[in-house]
Amino acid sequence: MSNDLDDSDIPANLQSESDTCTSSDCIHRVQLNSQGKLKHFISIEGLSKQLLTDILDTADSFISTQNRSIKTVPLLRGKTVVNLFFENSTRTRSTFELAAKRLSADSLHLDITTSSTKKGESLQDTLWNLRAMHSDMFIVRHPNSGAAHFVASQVTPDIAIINAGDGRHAHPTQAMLDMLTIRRHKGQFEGLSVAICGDILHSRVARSEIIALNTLGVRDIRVIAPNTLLPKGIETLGVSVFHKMDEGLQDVDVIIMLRLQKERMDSALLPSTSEYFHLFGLSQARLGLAKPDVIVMHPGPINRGVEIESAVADGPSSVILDQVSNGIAARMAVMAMALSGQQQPRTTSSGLEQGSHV
Amino acid sequence: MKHPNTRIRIDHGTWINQQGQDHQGSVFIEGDRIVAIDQEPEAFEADDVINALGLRLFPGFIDLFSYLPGVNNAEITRETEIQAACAAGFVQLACTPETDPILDSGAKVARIQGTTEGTAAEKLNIKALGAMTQGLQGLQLSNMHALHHNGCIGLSQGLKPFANLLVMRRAFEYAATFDFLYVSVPWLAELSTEGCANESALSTRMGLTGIPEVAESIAVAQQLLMAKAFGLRIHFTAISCKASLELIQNAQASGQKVTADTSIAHLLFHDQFVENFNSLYHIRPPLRTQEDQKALFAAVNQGQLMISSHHKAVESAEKAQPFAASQPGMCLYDTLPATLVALHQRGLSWKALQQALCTLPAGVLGARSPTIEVGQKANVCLLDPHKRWIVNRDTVFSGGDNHPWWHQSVQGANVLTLSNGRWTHGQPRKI
Repeated sequence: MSNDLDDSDIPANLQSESDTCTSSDCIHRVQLNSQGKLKHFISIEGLSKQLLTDILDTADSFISTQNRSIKTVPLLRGKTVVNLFFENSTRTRSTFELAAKRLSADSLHLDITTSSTKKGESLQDTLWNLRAMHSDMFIVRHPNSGAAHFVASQVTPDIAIINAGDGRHAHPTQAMLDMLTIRRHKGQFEGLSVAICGDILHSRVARSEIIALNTLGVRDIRVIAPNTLLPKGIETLGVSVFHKMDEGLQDVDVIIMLRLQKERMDSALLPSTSEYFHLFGLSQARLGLAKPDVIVMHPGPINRGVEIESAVADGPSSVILDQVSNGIAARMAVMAMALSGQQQPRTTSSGLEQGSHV
Repeated sequence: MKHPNTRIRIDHGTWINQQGQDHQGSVFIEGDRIVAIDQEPEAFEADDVINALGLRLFPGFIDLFSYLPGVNNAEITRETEIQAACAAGFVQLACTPETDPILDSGAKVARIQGTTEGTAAEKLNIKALGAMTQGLQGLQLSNMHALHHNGCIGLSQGLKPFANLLVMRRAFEYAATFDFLYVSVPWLAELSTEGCANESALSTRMGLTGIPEVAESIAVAQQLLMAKAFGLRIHFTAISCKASLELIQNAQASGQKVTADTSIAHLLFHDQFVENFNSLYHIRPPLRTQEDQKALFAAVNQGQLMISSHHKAVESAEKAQPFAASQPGMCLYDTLPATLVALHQRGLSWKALQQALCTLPAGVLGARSPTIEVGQKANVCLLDPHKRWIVNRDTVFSGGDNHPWWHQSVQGANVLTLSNGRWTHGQPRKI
C-alpha cells in the first residue's frame, strides 16, 4: 500500500518540531499576493508598518472625496461585493455597504442568520454558491475566530476576503479606522501613550488595535481592566497591564473605551454594572488625569453610564463620531487595495499564458 | 484467513528481549504461538518466510482508548477503522463508550465487540469500555456487572461529567466492589465550556476560547482522592499536562493503584501547531505547551506513562470549518509507524515505546506481559523504520482525512501484523 519514495527531502514526520509557522507568518502568506500587496484583509498581524501607512494614506485620500457633492469613485465599477454577516451588526454593516457603493461596486447583503445556514447548509457550500454567482469580494463577519482565515485559505482563495470581525480574533478594519482617527488628530504615532479600557477578554477590536499600534510605533500601550476581563498572557502582545483607572490613565494621549456587554454579569465575570462603572467607568474627573488634549474613542455602540459618562462621550475630547465617518474611508481603502491585489497575480499569469502561445 | 496451524519464520529481525536488550535473530511461529527463537525446531517447514533484516519486531500493540464509530457513514465505518488499527500493529483495542449508540448495555457492547466471519473485527481483539452511568448522563449507574460480563475491560465516562460528586462517589464505590477498572479522561466540563485550545498567550492572540490546564488537573486531583477513598482502580487516559502527571506520580509514590497514559497526538504536537487555525489540531483534551509535551515525553521514556491512540476519524465536512466550529479529533492509526520513528528520532528508546504500547497496557488489563519469546501468543508487528510513503487516500485504511502529515511523505511503515498467529495486516509470502 505504501508508495516508495527516493526523494532526498526530509520526511514530514522527521522534520524539526520548530518548523511550525507562526501565526503572523501564516496569516501574512494568506493575505498578501506574490508582490507583497494585500489580496485579502484578515488580520493586522504580519502586515508591515509601510503597508499600514499605505492603507491610512489611501483612506485619507478617500476622506477628501467624501466631502464632495458626488461622493462615488469608479474604482470597483462592475465588481460585486457580498456582505456575509453571520452575526448581527448595524454600524459595521452599514459602513461597509456605503463604502462599497461609494466605490461604485454592486453590493449585496446576506443576513446569514436568517438564511441558508439555518437550513443546514455549511459555510463552505454557502460560499461556493456565491462564488458561482461571480462575486469579487466577500465581507465576512462570523462568530468563530479564524473564520475569515478559513474562507481565504481553504474555501474561496480567489475572492478578496475582508474580515469584518471573527470571534474574538480580529476586527482589522475597525483597528484601521481607529488608527486613521488617531493619526488625523495626533499627526503621528511615535511618542503617544494609549490606554485601552474594559472588556479586553472578549474584544477582537482590542486585539487588532494593540497589534496595529505596536506596528505603527506606539511604545506605551496600556490595558486597564479587572483580571476577569483580561485574557491570559495579554502582556505578550506588547502592552502593560493596569487594574486601576487612576494609574492607567495618567498622562495618556488616547483613551479607547470598550463596550461592556450586559451578559458579562450573568457569566460571573463581574458583580454589577454599578461596581464596574465605579471602578472602570470613564468619568469627567478621571479624564482630567490624561493629557489636556486627550482624545476619547469608542468602537460603539456605547453603554452610557456603564463604561462611559454621557458628558465624556458627548464632550469636547470625544472623537467617537469621527470614528464613524473615518470608518467609511478606511473600509474603502482596504476594499480597493485588496481587490487590486487579488487581480494583480491573475493579470500576470494570463499575460504569461498569452506569451506562451506566441 | 490463514489456517491456524500456519508456520511462519521471521529471519534477521531485531526486538527487545526479556532483559530489555536489543536481540537480533529468528522467530518461529506455529499456529497461535511462538514455538522457537533462533533455533529452528525439528521438521519445521515454514509456510511463510519473512526477511526482517533492518526491521524491528514488537509483540503487538495494545490501545487503551480509541473512538470506533457505532453508526457507519459512507467513508468511516467500524471496518475501516479496525483495519487501520490492524495496519498500525495493534492486536487489541479498547473503545470509548462515547459513541453512537452509547455503550451502556450488554447488547450494545456485544454489537461493537462483535465478530463476524471474514470482517476486520474478527481479526482484532476489541474490548469496549462500558459507560459508567446510563447514557453517560452522569445521573444513574449503568449495569456495570452486566457490562463486565459482556466483555468490557473497564468503565468510563469519556468526556461526559458526573452530575455531581455524590454520583461519582456512588459509581466509584459500586465499581470498586467488583474491582472494576475505571478509565478516566480527566476533564472538567464547566471549566472547558466553549473552549477549543490551550488557554495561553497564543489562544489570547488568536482569539480562541481557552481551556485552562486546571480543567484537567483539578479533575485528576478530585478523582485521585475519590478513588483512594473508595478503593477504585483508576487509569487516566490522554493526560495532556505536566501538572496532571505530577499529581499522578505523587499518588503512585504514596502507593495508590493508579496508572496513566498520554495520547499519540500529545506526544507528537504542542499548542503552537494550532497557530494556523488548522482544524486538524483541534483535539480534546487540547494540545498543551512544549514544556508539557517534554514532561510527558520524559515520563514515557522512563516507563512511567503509557501511550494510547485516541484515534478518531472525523468526516471531512466536519473538519472543513472554522477552528472552533470543527469537530475535534485526529486519525492516528495509519501513521503510527511513522509516529514511532519520529518519537524514536526525538529520543524515545525502542524499549520505552514497547513498554508504553505493549507491556504497561497489558498490565492495566491484567494480562501477561507480551514479549517475543517461546510460548507467548504469536502477536507480532514488524516495523520498517526506513520505508517512506505518502499519507493520502490511497495509502490509508481509515475513512477519515484528518491524519497528521496528510499528503506529505513520512518515514516508517508496518510490514505485517500477526494477531494470535493470524495475518491481520500485510501479505503472506509463499516460499
